[in-house]
Amino acid sequence: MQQHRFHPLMKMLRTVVPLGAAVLLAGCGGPAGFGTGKQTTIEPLTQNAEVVQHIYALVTWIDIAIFIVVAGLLAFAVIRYRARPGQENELPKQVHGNVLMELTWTIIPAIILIFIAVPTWSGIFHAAHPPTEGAYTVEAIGHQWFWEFRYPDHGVVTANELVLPANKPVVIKTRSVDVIHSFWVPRLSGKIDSFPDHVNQIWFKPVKIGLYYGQCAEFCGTSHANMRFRVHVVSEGDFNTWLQHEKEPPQPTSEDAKAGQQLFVTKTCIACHSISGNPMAVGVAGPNLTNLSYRTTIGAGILENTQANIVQWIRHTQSIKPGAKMGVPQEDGSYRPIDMTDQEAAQIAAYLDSPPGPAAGAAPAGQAAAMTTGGAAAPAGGETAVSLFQSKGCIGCHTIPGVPGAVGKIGPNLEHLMSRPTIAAGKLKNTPENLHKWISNPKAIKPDTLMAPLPMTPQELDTVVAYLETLK
Amino acid sequence: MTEAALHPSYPKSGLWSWLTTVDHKRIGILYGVTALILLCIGGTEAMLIRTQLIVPNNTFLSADTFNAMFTMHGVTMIFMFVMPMNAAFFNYMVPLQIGARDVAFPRLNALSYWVFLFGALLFHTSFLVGHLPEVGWFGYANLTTEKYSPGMGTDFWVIGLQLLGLASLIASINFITTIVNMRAPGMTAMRMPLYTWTALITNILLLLALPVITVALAQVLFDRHFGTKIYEPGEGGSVILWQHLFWVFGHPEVYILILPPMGIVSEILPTFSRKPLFGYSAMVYATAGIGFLAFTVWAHHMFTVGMGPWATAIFSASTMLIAIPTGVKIFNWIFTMVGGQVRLTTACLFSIGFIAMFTIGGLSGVMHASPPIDTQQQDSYFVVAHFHYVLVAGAAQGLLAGIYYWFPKFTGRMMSEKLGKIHFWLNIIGVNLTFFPMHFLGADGMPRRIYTYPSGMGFDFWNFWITMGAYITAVSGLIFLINVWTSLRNGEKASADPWDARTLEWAISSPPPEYNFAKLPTVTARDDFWHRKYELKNFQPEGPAHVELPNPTAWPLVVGIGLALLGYGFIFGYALSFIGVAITIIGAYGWSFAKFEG
Repeated sequence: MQQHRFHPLMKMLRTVVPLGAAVLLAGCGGPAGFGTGKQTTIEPLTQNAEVVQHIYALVTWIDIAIFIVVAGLLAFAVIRYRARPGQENELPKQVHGNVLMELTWTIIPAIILIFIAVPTWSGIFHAAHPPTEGAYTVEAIGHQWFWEFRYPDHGVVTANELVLPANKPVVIKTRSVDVIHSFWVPRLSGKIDSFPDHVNQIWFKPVKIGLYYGQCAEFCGTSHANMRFRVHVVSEGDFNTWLQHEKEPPQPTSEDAKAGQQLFVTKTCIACHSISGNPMAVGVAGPNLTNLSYRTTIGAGILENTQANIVQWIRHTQSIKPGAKMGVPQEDGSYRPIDMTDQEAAQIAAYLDSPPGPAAGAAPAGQAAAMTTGGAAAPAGGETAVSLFQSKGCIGCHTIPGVPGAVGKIGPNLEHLMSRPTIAAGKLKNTPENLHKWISNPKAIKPDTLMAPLPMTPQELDTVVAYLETLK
Repeated sequence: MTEAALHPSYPKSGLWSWLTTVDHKRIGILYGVTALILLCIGGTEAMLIRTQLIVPNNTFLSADTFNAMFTMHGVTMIFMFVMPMNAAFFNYMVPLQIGARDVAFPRLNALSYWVFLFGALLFHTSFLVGHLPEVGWFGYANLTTEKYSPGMGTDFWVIGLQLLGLASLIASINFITTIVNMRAPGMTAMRMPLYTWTALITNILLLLALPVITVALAQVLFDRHFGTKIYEPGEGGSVILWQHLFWVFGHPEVYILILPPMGIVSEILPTFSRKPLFGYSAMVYATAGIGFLAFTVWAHHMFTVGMGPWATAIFSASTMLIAIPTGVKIFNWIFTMVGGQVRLTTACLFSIGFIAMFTIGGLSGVMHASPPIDTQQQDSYFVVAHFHYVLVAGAAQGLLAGIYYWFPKFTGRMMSEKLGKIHFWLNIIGVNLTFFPMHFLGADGMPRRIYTYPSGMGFDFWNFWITMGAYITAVSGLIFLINVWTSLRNGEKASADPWDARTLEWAISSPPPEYNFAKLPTVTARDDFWHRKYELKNFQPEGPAHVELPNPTAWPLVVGIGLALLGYGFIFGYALSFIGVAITIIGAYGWSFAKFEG
C-alpha cells in the first residue's frame, strides 16, 4: 500500500534525476555539454559580453534557487497532503486564504526583482554609450543572404569576414539593403538588428586574438540559415597589412588566373561584384571579392575557401545556398547559374585566389565609388531611381550620370541617352515604351546580349525609365 | 430529475443538426474536435521540423519547406489549437458555471465557430495549392511585402489570420456580455468560479488586442494588393511599425493563451484537494493585473531593434512586474493543496505538472526581461525553450488537464485513468527532454528558424537528443488520442458529479440536457454546488419549468461561407470576393428576419 502511494513520486524522481545529471554534466563542460560551442554566449571574450554574462549568471542562480523552493513546496504539498484511504468522510479544513502569507509571496519576489533590475539597468546604459576615444567605426550591412562590411575611415569594403584589431573599441553601425537582419557574434557581444530604414549601432572591444563565429539572428527569408559570418581579431600590425591588401586587386600570375580575370568581366560577374583596383569590377549587389584569398570561407561562411569549392559554388549555387541571388535572374525571381564550363569556373577561381598586389596604374576609382554607394544619405532598399540602379546591378555595367557607383564599362554609357535616336544598338526606336520593353526582357530583342533581365516590378520599371528620360 | 417542458424540441443528431446548432455545448464540442484535429496537423509539422534538425546538414526538408513548416506550425498551434481549445471550454463551461441557459448571443456564437473553421480551412488551402507562407507566424515587415514574398503563400497567412481573428473578436463580445449579464441570481462577481474570471479577462484582452492586429494585417494586405507603401522603407513606410502593432497584439495574445489554462488549474486543484482555492480574491486581482500589464510590455519583444536605453529600461521594468502576480498564482495553487486531501487523478497530475513547468517558463521569462541578457537570447533557441515551456508544458498541459477533468461532463463517460497516467508521464518526460536542452542550444548561440546547421558548432548532440524527446512527446499524444477514442466508445458511464467537485456545472447531469438547468439556480456562496452539498445538505429542487431555447438556424453558416469567399477572393481573384459579399449580405438579411425563439 505504502509503495503504491509513492508510485507516482518514484516515477517523477526517475525523470528528474537523469535530467539533473545531464544538466550538471553539461554545466561542467562535458563533450556533449554547452559552453563549448563556437558561438557560445556563456564564455564571453569582451567586457560587453561579460557584463551580459554576469547578469545572466546572477539571474540563473536566482532562478535555480526559486525553482528549488517552488518545486520543493510543490513536492511537499503533493506528498504530505496526498489523499489517504479512509478520509472520504472527513473534510479537510476549508481554508480560504491567509493575508499575511499572501503578502509575503507578493513582497519577496518584488524585492528579488530589484536585485535583478539594478544590474540590468546599469547594463543597458553601459551598452548604450560607446567610448568616445580611440573607437573606430565599421559598417555592417545585411543583404539577403550575406554581410557587407565597410571601413569608412580606410575606404575598404569586404564581405562575410570582418577583420578587427585587438584592444581597440569598435562601433558597429548596422543597416540592411533589403529586409531585417540581425548582427550577432555571441562571444563578442549581444545582437543588434539591421534595418532597411535606420542605422543601429553596437560596440565592443575585442581583446583576444582569434577567430569568432557570427550569424544572422533575424529570420530574413529562404537562406537565413546560410547567412553566417566570421570575425578575425588580429594584431594591429596584421590589421594594417590586411588593410593594405584590401586596396589591391588580385595579381594573376598563372595562365588560368589571367584567363579568369577576363572571364570575370565577360561572364558579367562584375555586374554584382567589386574588386578593388579592378576598374571594371564595381558591382555592389553581391559581396565585394577584394582579397578573397585572405578569407577562410565563401558563400557567407558556409563553404571552406578552396578553389574547388569556388567552382562548386559558381556552378551549383542554388543547391549549396537555396535562393541565393547569384547568377542570371529569371522572371520568376529565381536565379540560374551563369553559363560557363567547369574549366572556366576554375579559371575564375584561380583569378580570385591570386595574391593581391598594387594595382597597375589605374586609381581604384571603382572602390571609391562603391564606398559612396548607398551611404547614410540614401538608405538602400528605398526605391528611388538612384537606389534601383544600384540595387538592381545596372551600375555594374553602365555609367549613369548622377548615380554614385555607376561607372560600369561593359554596357553603353547612358550619358545623354535621350539625345540618341535609338536604343539597344539601333534595334529599337528610343521611346519610353521601348525602354520598358528592352529593360524588362533584353534577350527577346537581342538574343546574344549580355544585358540581364533584372527582376523589377512595373513601378520600379517606371521609376527607372522616368529617370533615364531625364538624361538629355 | 423532472424533465423540463422544452420548447421547441431540437434535432439531436445528424449532420444538419450540427450545421444549424446554436447550442453553446454543441458549438463547444465543434470547437474542441476541430482544435484537436488541428493539433495533429501542427504536431506533425513539429515532427517534420525536428526530423530536419536531427543531424547537421540534413536534406530531409528543403530550406523553403522548412521555413513554411515553422510558419504553419506556429500559426496552427497558437491560432488553431490553443485559442479554439480555449474557446471550446469557454463555450461549454462558462454558461454552466454561471448558471445560464446559453450564451448571450447564441447565433453569433455559431457564426464565430464557422468563421474560425473557414479561417483554418483557408489557411490550410495553402497546402493544396502548394504555396505555403514562409514568413514565420510573426510575419515581420518588410519580408511580407510583394517584393520579398511574391506569390500567394503570404496571402494565406494574412487572410487566414484575419478570419481567425474575426472569429475570436465575435466570440469575445459574446462571452463578455454573457458573463456580465447572464449570471444566475446571487452569483456576484466575487462568487464567480475562477475559470469564469479568467474567461472574462481573456475575452476583454481579445476585444482590445485583436483590432490592433486586424488593422496591421489590413495594412499588409493593402501593401500587397493595392500598392500602398505602409511597410515599404524608402517610400515613407516604416518597417518597425509592424513590430509595434504586432506585439501590442502579440503580448496580450500570450496571456490570451495562458490565462484560461490557469483558470482550469484553479478549478481542478480545489476539487482534487477538497479545499477552496487559496486566496481567491488575490487570484482574481492577479489575473486582472496580468491582463492590465499585458498591454504595457510589448516592446520587450523588441529589445534588439535599437529603441534607445530609456525605452528599453522602462519596458524591462514593466515586464519584470509581471513576475509578481504570476508568483502569487503559483504559491496560491500550491497552498490550495497544502492541508487538503490531494487525489492524484490524471487531471490533477497535469495541473501539478503545469505548475512546475510553467514555473520554469516564467523564470526564463524573467531572464528575457533583462535586456542585456535578451540581446544574447533573443531569436536564439533559448527563447524557443522559454515559450514552449509556457505554451506546451504550460498552456497545453493545462488544456489537457481540462479535457481529463471535464470529459465526463462533455460526453457522459469517464476517460481511462490508466491510459491517462501513461499519457501524463510520457508527456512530461518527452516535453522536458525536448524543451530543456533548447536552453543549452540557445546559450550556445544556435539561432532559431534555421533549417540547417553545420557540424562542429556544438549543436549536434542536443539537436539529436531534442528530436528524440519530440518523438516521445508525439507517442504520448497518440496515447491521448487513443484514450479519447476508446473512452468515448467504452468509457465508464459518468455520474453528474464524478469528482466531488465544487462548481455549478457538476450540479446537472453528464452530459447536461440542452436547456442546462431546468430551473435556474439561485446562488448563495462561492463554490455554490459544494456549499449545497456539504453545508446546506440540500439540493435546490429542479422543478419543471417552461424553457425557451433559440431555434437552430443555418444563417450563421451562410454568413461564414460568404466571409470565407470574400477572403479567398484576395487570393484567387476578386470575383470570388464579390460573390462572398453578396452571400454575406443575403445571410445577414435572412438572419435578421429568422425567428429567434418558438
